[in-house]
Amino acid sequence: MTTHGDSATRSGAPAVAARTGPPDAAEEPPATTGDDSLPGALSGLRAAIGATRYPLALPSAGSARHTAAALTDQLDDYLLPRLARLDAPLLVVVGGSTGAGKSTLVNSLVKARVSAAGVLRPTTRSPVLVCNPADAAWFRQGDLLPGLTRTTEPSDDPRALHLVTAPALPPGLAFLDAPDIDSVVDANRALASQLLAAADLWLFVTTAARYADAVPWELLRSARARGAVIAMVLDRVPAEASDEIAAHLAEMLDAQDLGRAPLFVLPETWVDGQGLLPEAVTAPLADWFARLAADADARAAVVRQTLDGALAALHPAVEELADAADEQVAAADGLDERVRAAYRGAERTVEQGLQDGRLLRGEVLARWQEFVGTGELFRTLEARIGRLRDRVVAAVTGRPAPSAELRNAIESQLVTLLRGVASEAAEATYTSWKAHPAGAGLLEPTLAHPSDDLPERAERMVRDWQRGVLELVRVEGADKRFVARTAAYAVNATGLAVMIAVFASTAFIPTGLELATGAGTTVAAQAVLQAIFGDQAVRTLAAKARGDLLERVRTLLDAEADRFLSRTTDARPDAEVGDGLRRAAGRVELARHRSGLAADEEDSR
Amino acid sequence: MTNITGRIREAFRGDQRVDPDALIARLDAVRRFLTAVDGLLPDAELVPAHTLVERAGTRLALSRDHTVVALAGATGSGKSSLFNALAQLELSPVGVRRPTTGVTHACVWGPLEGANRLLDWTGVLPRHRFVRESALDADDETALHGLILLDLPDFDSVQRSHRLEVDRLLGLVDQVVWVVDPQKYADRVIHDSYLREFHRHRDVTLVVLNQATGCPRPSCPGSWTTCAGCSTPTA
Ligand SMILES: Nc1nc2c(ncn2[C@@H]2O[C@H](COP(=O)(O)OP(=O)(O)OP(=O)(O)O)[C@@H](O)[C@H]2O)c(=O)[nH]1
Ligand SMILES: [Mg+2]
Repeated sequence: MTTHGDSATRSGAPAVAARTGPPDAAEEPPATTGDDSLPGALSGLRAAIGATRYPLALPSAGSARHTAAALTDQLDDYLLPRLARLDAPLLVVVGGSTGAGKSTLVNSLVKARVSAAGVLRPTTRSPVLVCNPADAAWFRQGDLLPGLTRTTEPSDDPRALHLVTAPALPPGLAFLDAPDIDSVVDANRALASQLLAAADLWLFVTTAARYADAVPWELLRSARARGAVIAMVLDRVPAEASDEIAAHLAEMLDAQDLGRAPLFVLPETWVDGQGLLPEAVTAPLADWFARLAADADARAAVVRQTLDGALAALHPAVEELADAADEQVAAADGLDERVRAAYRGAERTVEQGLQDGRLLRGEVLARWQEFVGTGELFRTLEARIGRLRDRVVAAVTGRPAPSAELRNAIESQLVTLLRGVASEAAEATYTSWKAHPAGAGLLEPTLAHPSDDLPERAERMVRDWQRGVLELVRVEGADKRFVARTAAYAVNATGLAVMIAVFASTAFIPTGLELATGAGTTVAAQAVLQAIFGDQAVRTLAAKARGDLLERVRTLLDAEADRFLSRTTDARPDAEVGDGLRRAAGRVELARHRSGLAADEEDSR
Repeated sequence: MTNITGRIREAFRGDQRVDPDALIARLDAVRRFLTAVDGLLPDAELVPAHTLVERAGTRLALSRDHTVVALAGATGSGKSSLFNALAQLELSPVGVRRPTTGVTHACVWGPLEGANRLLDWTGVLPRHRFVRESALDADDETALHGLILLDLPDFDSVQRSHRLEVDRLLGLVDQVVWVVDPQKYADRVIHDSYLREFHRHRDVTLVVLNQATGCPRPSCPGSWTTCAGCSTPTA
């Protein structure tokens, strides 16, 4: 066995003792008794993390969900119970690649076969915790890693924790043999990261064949980022390659800013009949742990360093969550804006259709001409074009049928327009959501079209509007005598004239007239039109009717837009959650500085 | 298990190779199919077929007399040792420092001239091309004429560029021998990124379990087992 590097700093004594300052710093009791706001701040942070969801399928959402779950686990598994009991035994989690010899090493260190080692990869599926009998009560009571069920029998259940006692292990220090980090068994990797997040000290095991593998280095970098105390074991090193490989690994550790981690190089050897490594091989590692177990100050320093590192790492991790939550809100806003833009466009199209005379065509125009421009009744009006109401009363009294037809024509023309704009808006929104990563996930095929009952609702809406126009004529007819004199037909006819006036805004009356003339109406019909549109009373009523129609169109289209908007409403997090997370993390950071855990770290720099 | 270099060499013998004429006929059939369905099937679905026809056409135009076989595997699995053992020459440096091989090495059985265009296409540098031909060779060596063996870098080390090189070459070679070892055979990267993918190519895929006696020295070429066509040893 060789240990690499200067024995005083590498492995002569637990490296953290030198790193964490004088013992009097460790003697201060603030985190245990003086300051209970740290656990309070942590509970607040836990609640804030638990209350935040990332339902929109944004690129940041998956990793935010993962981070949130990992942070919650770490708070429950380690930070909260560890803060409550700073003097509890130190937990060494043994992690690394499959087949690196983790189980073999743990067995050899405690001089008993506590964890099965084997040739089939991967072997360990369920964690095994070994401690001195004196420490068993603490680990059994389940404050630490509360999600794992304690068992006394070996098992393959990843939610179980096999507790074993070993008298050869000194009190104050326990080993946890973790599943691998890199095999095809995904559950192993997930469990290993959870366990490593609950470690006071990471004992990272690699081999001569594996020390340059990419996967373990990713994990080592994350451990460094969390400020966890790490010790490295380079196992199964052929004697003749020892110097070269150990130097290379030390170089790699330096390059990753992990040069202070003690590195133990264990030579390749044969395991004995029990599957244990020869004592001579494990002695330097065993001695290092024995010294750590015997020195309460050194142990406390390890615990405080890892704990403080983990607490400090919360802030950037929560910042990531807050950003992801903000992105959710922004994305929901962006999706809503796409919906509003499409349906505003639909409204504008309707508005324009009312202005440019395009509705005063075809069936409506034909019925209108029929209504005013033909028949016997019209001839009676020809000679004397008096006040509108006279004409209208006369016209309608004589011709009830065309009025019904005109009304139907207006209705169907409007409904056609509404169906068209609603289809366009639905399609446009659907397409633009589909192109948005979060939008695509909220869609279902029916949203590409207007709702099924849109035609019925549009018809009802138009009929309601027409009734409303008649009501308007009745109530607001400026001339009381007119109201008094009008029969139902008169109101009806005036209403129709108002509706036509809505369809042909002043700007386009000439067009309407040309059309009317071109279609072969008599000069008199033209005169009627002029009289109608020139009449101030009709113009005022038409403006009101137009406003009313647009209002109803808006309501109808809003209901269509709501089919989309309700989806973002369901998915949208509260706009405040991002800042809520930041505030909670800020409180933890403040409490951490006050707790005195951080003071150690600063002293050592 | 009998001597594995022997078994691998057996698998590479000239008489077991694919008949290029049969291959060309099949490629022609795919090409005719593509012409026939042009405009009838969605273009996006046909991209892999077009790529195949194009790449296979290029490959066959470069040489019909060679078979390019790549040794692929994790760092430390023993690719270079196996390469050297098959060539019976120390061509590719073997080392304890991981990863050792950073560039692809090639060994050609037969004259180099005919293979050069193919090796240019695969991008193996001239100084890493070797010829395995000797007047002293016995008949079983001539049976391997036309074999081009490639020793690839690893795909799982911290050197990301190695993996890029491997991924590039795997799309060009005719056959792949996956070299796995008892420590790493169940690594996720091997299965998720490679063996699962290559399941579709099992007739041109060979998996070799290296260092199977648990020999502590990674360079010991004494013990190899093969399982041709087997893509998930753990299954
Ligand atoms: N020759 C030799 N074999 C070893 C050594 N260490 C471990 N082994 C063997 O390597 C194999 C794997 O060892 P394990 O201890 O099961 O490895 P592990 O890291 O726990 O593996 P997983 O549980 O799969 O993560 C076993 O067959 C051990 O007997 C060693 O130093 N020398
Ligand atoms: Mg194990």
